[in-house]
Amino acid sequence: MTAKPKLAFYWAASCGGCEISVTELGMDLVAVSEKADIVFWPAAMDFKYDDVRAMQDQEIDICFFNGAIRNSENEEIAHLLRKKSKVMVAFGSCAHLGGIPGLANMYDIESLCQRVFDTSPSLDDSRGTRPQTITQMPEGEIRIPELYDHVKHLSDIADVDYFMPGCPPVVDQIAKVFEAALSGNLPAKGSVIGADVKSVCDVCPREKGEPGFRITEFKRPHEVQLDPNKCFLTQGVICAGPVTRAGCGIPCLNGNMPCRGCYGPAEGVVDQGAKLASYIGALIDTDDPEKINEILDSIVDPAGTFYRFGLAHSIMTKLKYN
Amino acid sequence: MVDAARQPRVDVRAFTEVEKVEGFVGNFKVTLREKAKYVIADRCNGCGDCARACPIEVPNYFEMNIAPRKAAYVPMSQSVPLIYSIDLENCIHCYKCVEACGALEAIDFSQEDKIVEEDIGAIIVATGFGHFDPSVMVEYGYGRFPNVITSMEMERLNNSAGPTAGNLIRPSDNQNPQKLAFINCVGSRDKRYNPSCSNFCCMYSIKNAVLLKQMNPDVDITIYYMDIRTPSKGYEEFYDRAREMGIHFSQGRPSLITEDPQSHNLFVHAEDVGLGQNTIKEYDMVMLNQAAIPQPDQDHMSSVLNVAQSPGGWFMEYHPKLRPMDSPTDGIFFAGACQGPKDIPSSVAQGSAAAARASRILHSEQWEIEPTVAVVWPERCSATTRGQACGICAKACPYGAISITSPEFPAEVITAKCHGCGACVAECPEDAITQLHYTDAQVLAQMRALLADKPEEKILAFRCHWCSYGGADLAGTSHFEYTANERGLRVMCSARMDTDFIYEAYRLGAGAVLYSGCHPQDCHYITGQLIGAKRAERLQKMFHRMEMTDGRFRVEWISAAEGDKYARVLNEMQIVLDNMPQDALKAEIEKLKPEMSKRLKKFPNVPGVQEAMDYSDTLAQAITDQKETA
Amino acid sequence: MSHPSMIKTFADEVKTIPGGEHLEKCYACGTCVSKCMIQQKVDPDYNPRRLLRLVMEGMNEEAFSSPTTWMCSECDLCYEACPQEIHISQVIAAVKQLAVDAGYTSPLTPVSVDEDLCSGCGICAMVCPYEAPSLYEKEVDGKLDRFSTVDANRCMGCGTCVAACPLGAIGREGVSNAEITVQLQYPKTEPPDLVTFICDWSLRVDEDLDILESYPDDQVKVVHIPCTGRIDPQHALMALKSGVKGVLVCGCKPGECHFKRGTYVANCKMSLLGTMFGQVDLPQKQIRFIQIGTQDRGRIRNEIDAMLDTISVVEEAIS
Repeated sequence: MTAKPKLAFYWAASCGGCEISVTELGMDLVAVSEKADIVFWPAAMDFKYDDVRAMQDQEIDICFFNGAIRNSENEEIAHLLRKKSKVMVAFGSCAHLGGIPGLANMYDIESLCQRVFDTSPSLDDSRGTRPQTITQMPEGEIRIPELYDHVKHLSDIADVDYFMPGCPPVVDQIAKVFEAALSGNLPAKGSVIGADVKSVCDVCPREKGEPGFRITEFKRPHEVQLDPNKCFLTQGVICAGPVTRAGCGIPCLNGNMPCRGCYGPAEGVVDQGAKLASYIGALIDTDDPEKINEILDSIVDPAGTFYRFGLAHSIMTKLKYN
Repeated sequence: MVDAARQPRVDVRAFTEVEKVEGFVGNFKVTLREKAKYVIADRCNGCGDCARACPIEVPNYFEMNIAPRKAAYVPMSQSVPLIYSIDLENCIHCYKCVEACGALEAIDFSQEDKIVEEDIGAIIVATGFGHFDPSVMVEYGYGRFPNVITSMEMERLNNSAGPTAGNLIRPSDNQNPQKLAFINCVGSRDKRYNPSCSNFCCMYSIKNAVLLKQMNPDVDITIYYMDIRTPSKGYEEFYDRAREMGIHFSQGRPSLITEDPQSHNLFVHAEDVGLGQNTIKEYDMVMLNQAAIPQPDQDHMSSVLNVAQSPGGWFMEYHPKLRPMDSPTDGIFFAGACQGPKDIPSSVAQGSAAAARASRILHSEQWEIEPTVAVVWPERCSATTRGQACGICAKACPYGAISITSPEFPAEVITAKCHGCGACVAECPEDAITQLHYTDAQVLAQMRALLADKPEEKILAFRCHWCSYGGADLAGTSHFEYTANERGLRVMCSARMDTDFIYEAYRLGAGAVLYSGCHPQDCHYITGQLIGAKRAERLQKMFHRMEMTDGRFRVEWISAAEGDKYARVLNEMQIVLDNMPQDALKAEIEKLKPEMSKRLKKFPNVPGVQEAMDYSDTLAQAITDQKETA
Repeated sequence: MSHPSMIKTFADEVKTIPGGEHLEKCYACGTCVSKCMIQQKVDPDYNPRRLLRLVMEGMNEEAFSSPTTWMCSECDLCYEACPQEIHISQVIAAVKQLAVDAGYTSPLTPVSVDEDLCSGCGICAMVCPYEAPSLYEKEVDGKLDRFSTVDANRCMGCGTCVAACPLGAIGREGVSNAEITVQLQYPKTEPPDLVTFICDWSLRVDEDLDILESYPDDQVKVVHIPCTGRIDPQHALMALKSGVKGVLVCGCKPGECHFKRGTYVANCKMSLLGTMFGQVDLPQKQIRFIQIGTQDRGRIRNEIDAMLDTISVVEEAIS
């Protein structure tokens, strides 16, 4: 009998939701652990970095890496796991696209720190605290990971074999991917796994807009009584469904909330946010040119909305930091 | 003009505005505002020393603002009378002019506007025309592209007395343009601005082209036109001559002018209709032949003089073919373009005709008017019966011919001002006014005769004398067939078509009634049609509420040239009656009769024919009395 | 005129269709012909004045096969200019409808849909100025699935749908994503300073096109698009990513868009992109959208020169 395949999970700059999603497999996870050895999973099991360092190169069969690259620790471990793994999967939106942490790329580090350490409403006063990479203490030097000037996604720094989108990846898709991985049925390197090819609209049952329909005012979901049977766009609510890869099982839509784009760009989309701007702009009612700016102004936070999960992955970030 | 001013019996009042016109033919009282010139007319000898001394320069309106004038100025060198004036709006009160005037002491800054009242027998209006501002047509770039000019600016630029002494230069660089385009119909024949043809611009642009070509045979001139209109004697020959001189004529209305930002040369985009191809040609300068439009204050003058305006705003003549120089108000005449755009020969002809007409009044002891005037039956007027004149008649009169001096006294018709439309007669709620030859009794007697036999089969057509009656006449002379069940009845104006006539017609059992008159702008009686139309609309609504079958009462405005329309309308009305089963029609007539009787307010008061005839003797006497007092 | 017995001639027929009724007011001044750019830029036989004559003369077959019937994009430049206030595009639309009823088809190349890519989101149908695309359902593997389909007689080829389609499922030769992106890659040469996306209708006169072509390719790269409705913010980003220092998008002045709404759509997209540049703290001056009017002869030179100046300043600031 050959040895069981070895799996690793890691959590970089992320909320941890991806890992919760894995635990939601429940008894299926038990079944997985019967077929495979989980050799590294800091969130659930007591392993140390040194355990990994002690492994031979490519000893891990598949590493599921979630989270964005925010600091030097994230990057170091990413490189380490890459070295020790045969297959590296960018698991979840943050590893895939930078995710929500990637929105920080709109700001520079100082203004982020100001917000976090000085002006956050939950702070009583500011002592001007800033994280220091190196702090001298009587006991000696303390080092913490270095904060990078911008958020990267995994494939920015490491060679990624597969991308598995989702914030978080949904349980059904995780189960399918585990099954495919354990049975050696993964597709060509570089593929997006655990998701479909076409966009969310392909599976969305809502009634689409009539020819010639145009948006006269943008609303956020909480500002309008949403008709559960109609396309969100026809109700003036920005929906990322048209550019976003399907595969999530549309839990948001079923909950009468628009798609926010966590599954990333569908096949054929180069830059998710720019493409979103391309169709949102074209949908604006232009019959009364005087009103166009008013309609545009009703879009709150375009960059944050259009690039909600993909800013770190966008050309915008490349332009800004290269 | 100089000759005219020298005539001892011609009194020229320059810089004077007409403020008020009262009275009537032969007896006008005209209030004039003689504006302060700040120069004493008797002392000024026109030497111009004040202007030379004046340090202030402002754009000269007469030179189309392309040259300056001083604040002490005459509008143009040929001004009549040659008296300078001080433009106080721009004057800085340096009093250099006073100094320059010296011993003449003609300048008087203490002058004020003077209001004078004159007795006038006849008025000739010769206020001319205004110019369409082509800057609203952004496609031609006037006002943005310096080398696009108007025809009036061209007029000054090629005039030997103009600011360039006749040397044509283009504004951007003061060079002589070699290649020019003239664009005709700028703002005329254009539904967006002025739908009508400005009459003289074809000849005018040809004239300018010929002039320029004579001065410099090398200039290249293209006239863009839609149609060249040369309808008068010798005009076509002039057009031929222009073409023989080498002036290009290109059929096709330009849609756009673009400008090269460096050279300020212009490109005219037009279809050459002959070729069916779009052409873009480069020119040094473009002249826009702007439309002639009514003077900016024409509306104001129209209300001061109480004369109507035709569509487009020109003063309206009494009759377009037969009395083009007469206004609808006796004693007021038109000369020239104030009545409609016209060229010099036509203006001269009309002016001479107006002068002849006016002199006829000045030399008459008596003035004959139409006999169909309105007269008040004083004992019936609410002023007599209730001590309070209601004033409805005075409000209805388009001529201001009814005066109510105080509420206790009955209304009085100033006969010389009355034109006999009958609006007051129909509007008077007391039945206290009648119109000679069209008394209620006479009209009702005609109606009874017309509807005596089988009234349900008849269509009673009320026609106004000037338009729909003419339309019916034309239908007849043109042999247009229309229903034999029509029974026509003439009154002078739709304003005379009393509601009671209509109620009575239906009470008598008429199958259908036509209420017809002039088109709104064609009314012979200034606003008579509007009064008639308002009343007709009320009637229509009322009959609708009464659930009368649609089409049994019809309101149509039919001109004297629309014989075909008259016939068509009557035939359509016949179809309405044909489509109703006889029983149903009769039942509807009977059902509505009580309602009609109830609404016939006046009917019990209407005198019989004999009574009216007796009364008319009294009226005739009254008019004679009035004439004597006048 | 609505009574069938009154319809005797071809002109009567055209006049029964809403918009066609003003046909006979035409006095053949030719303003429409020279205001319109189609004759000048595309087809010398295009002539609205002549089409109106064909209708009035009862020459229906000639009218149906006239390029004027099919190529009018309803920009309504002529309607604004017509001294008789004839809504010419509506008259043409009336003729076109009769032509379609009579079995004639548009000679223009329409966009088509790749159903392998189409997700049936309906965005193309919503954004099209001519309502050419619409959704239909068909069974695929036993399930009903939605796809877009295009009415070839309606499509005017502006490419607004191509730019809006999220998945690149709709397009035609000449406006496809591939044809544009290939112009934005510089694997062998230095990238130019500026990429100008130019709507072919925004430059009224050939001289302005000459100005555009007068810049060397390594300084200003010109990408021709049929309408700025075709502009995809992705392309602007791709150009910048390839090393270009500025992107200028040039469309028609509001009210003069050849495809009714393309220039407004482009304005919306470019504004959104600009706002996002601001949010992300990228130099907004790197991307600029201008709208050139029919009378702005020579303006393109000023705009390009100004843009070249701007990007050199931006570059200095960055370096």
